[in-house]
Amino acid sequence: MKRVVWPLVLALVLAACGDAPSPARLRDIGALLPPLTFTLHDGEARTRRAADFAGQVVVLYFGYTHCPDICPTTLARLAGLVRRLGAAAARVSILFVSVDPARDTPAVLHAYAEAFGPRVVALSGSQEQLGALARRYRVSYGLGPADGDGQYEVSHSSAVFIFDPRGRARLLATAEDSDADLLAGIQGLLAAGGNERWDGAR
Amino acid sequence: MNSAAKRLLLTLLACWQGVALAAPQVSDAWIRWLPGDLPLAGYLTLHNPDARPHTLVAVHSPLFRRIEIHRSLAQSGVARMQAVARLELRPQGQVSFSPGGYHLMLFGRAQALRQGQTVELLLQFDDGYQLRAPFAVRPATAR
Ligand SMILES: [Cu+2]
Repeated sequence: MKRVVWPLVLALVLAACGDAPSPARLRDIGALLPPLTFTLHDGEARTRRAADFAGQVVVLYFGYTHCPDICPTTLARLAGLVRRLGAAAARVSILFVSVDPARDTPAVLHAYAEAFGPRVVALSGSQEQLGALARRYRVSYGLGPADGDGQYEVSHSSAVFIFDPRGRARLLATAEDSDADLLAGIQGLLAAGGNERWDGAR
Repeated sequence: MNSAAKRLLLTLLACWQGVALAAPQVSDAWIRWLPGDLPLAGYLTLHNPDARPHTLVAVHSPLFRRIEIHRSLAQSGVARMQAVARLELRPQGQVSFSPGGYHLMLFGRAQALRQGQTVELLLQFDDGYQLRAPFAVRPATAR
């Protein structure tokens, strides 16, 4: 009996003492993906870098504004959950990265982010800047053929990446994860603190 | 008119009314507002109280240049949309258009839309039946 129990106890102790215990039931990507690093621009055409968000839990999502269903549904959900954090919401930034810079000018990004409230920042960049960020988090995107009106669809990753205040990649969420798990994941990263350091690029 | 003809006429009338009562219905219809002239998604639940199927084939409104029936798909972590040419409602069945699934995709606003406003869309079925449905315009953050 003891031979069965001891490895289990050891595993529990190791899990509890680990440097970065996973706070929730979302997929732990701590060992899989590198710290947050990017150079993009926002709705005011200002350059924004990952280090600007040091000390914040960053919720990163790739999309495009001409996406009427999945993208706004995801942003509405994330913004609604973060609002439930009350005062702590100020320490969370939801970064919507448009992979469609041709249509998503800074003016479009500005109006779009505003529609989802103060915690959403809409960003985009050059193809090189977007490509570098997408490769870093192993996401793909692609432009579909244009229709008669010049409208086209953009296929994009449906994953939500969550970074801790040090910029470390920590959790991956999808539409299948519950509100409770997402909220617990973000709360866990906020409670873990670690605001004094930054692991991403400067 | 003799009584037999009268009876036949009444039966036909009742029958016709029965058909009209059994036509598809709409509930929970809303549009997610987005700024500018970005394409919008419309959501609703379609009910078919009839004993025979009805098929939605088109949606029109003078408020939009073009309306398509779409379905969102997430395949191996990639989000896409697919146009749906016809959507069959089974007898006594219902289909819900909801975030992340079926949606009406509304392209090209003819005039500005306000949150809180109600707009009418015309749903066209394969048997020629047309259904006028009011859609509430909700904020971007609606769920
Ligand atoms: Cu669509």
